[in-house]
Amino acid sequence: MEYWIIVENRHAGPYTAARLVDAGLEPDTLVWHEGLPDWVAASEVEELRVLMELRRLEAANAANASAEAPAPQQPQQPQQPQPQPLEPVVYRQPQAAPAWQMPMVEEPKVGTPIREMDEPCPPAYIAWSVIVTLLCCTVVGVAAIVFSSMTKSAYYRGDLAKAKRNSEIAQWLIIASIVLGAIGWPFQMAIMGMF
Amino acid sequence: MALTPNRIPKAALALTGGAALLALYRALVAATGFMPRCAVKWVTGLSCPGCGSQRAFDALLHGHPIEALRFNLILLPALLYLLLLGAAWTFPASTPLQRLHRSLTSPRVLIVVAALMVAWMVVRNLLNI
Repeated sequence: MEYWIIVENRHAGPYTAARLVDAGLEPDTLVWHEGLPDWVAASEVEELRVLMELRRLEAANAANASAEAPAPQQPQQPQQPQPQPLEPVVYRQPQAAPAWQMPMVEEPKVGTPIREMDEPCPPAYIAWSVIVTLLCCTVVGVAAIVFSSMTKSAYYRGDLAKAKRNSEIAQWLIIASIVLGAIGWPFQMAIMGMF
Repeated sequence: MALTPNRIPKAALALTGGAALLALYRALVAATGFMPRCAVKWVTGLSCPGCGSQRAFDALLHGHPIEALRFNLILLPALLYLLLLGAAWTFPASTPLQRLHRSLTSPRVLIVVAALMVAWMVVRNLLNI
């Protein structure tokens, strides 16, 4: 099974269980593998827990052995496996992603950690939706806010395609609001001018 | 971090542009009394959430925030919300601002914003505010 982990707020992986445990996996490190709905602590994954327990026993034995026996004939010092650091995160940095999108990349706990999370969230046009709502295109503006929200929630769920679609809908609703507003004004001024 | 772009020049430009537009608008209102009614109000007779925001904005510019709230209750909070979004956009390196931004743009909060807009519209039309 291949595991992904979160180290220093970033996804890393995939690694095999043995590789992770060799690298000094902690029980509370968050891990994920295909089929899990969300990240869990390493201690909650059977395979990892067993391996970590084995590793702990081994280390304890080794410590006992060296403590008890200043033995004459140097018992083969059980090689304490040096924890080797994991290689640098195999993880695509979004190039020059707008800063408000960075936290999402850095907080992968929220959604399903599919590889797609490497991509930044499509724009949700939040400020624009609020502005057009205030500028008198009520229904359309409120709908735009709702789609902004759905862009975010789809992204957090890991459904990037849906997030992109919602982002586009929000964008079109905003454009529609502006067009409706722009049509409304001159039309109305013309009428008012007549009276 | 290389990922935090410097947006301060852009924000300064936007602010300057905004101030220029504002000055232009003030001159226009002073010269013509340009205060168009909201199209929604005009067609349906109903006040939308944004109705009165021009009067409210005007009151705000004259330094009467209470009067601004009377014209449109939601404009002031909405402006504050936009201001915070803008601040977080301008200073991406500031952790507290980014945390604030993340909570302000969480899906749940956005749904609440949309609901507030609708609720405000219903209430103002029922009470004739």
